[in-house]
Amino acid sequence: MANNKSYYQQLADSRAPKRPFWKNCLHAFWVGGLICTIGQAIQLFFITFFDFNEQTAGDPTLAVLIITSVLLTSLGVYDKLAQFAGAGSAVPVTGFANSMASAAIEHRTEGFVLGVGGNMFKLAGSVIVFGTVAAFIVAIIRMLLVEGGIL
Amino acid sequence: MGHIKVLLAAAVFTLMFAATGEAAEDQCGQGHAHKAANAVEALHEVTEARAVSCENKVYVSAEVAHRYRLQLPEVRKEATMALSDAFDDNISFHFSTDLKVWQLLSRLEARVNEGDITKKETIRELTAVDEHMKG
Repeated sequence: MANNKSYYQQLADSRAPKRPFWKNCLHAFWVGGLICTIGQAIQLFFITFFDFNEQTAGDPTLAVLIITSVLLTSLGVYDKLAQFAGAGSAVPVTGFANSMASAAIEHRTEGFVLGVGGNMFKLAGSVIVFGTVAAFIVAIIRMLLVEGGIL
Repeated sequence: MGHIKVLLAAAVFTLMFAATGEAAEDQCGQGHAHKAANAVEALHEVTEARAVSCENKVYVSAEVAHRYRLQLPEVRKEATMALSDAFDDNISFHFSTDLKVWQLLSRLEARVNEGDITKKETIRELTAVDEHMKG
């Protein structure tokens, strides 16, 4: 039985079209880089033309990126970009906004509370959980290194 | 008639000297600023520095070379040490690598060098710069 399963898996793998790994990496790289460059340009705009410095300009920059991402998601543009760029569009904060907005749009027919509210964090929830856990672990490691005099 | 001419000439000269003296007093001296900019520019991580001084306060900002941007806290520490070596305790200096501070100090330095800003205005501008250096 196990042999049949592994044979089938081998057969399926040999017949399946090869994933263009390097091409996907390249697309993710340049699209992700472009999103970050746009973010940098927005930050520079806020620093130059408004009363923000490097520390405070981060908040309006994030707000602009998130609003833009939600708008593009609702217009169906961001999903096409995500199919093309993969992680390049998912890793920046715009990807997080996209995951929340798309879940909210998808479940809006189920009601505002149970539909939108209940399903909004279905995709983004894992990001929040693992982000918080990772931050907690990194903070403990840093504290130990600082207390130990290594850092 | 001759006495009146002499008196008038004396009055004109007195007014001229008074005016130049006032102009010199009405602007902030930039001796400390030049010294601070030179001290910071001597660091190999720094490509360019801007500084403006007024009374016993010096505000300095530096542009850090791209490859050292990840070590900004160390660069700030080094620059602060270089400035504390360059100045006595009675001079208070403020250093920042923030882009906003750089932009404000660049503009202010140009105006101070052109001489089209009064001491009062310079102090007001420096207070605004100081606000961005906090936190």
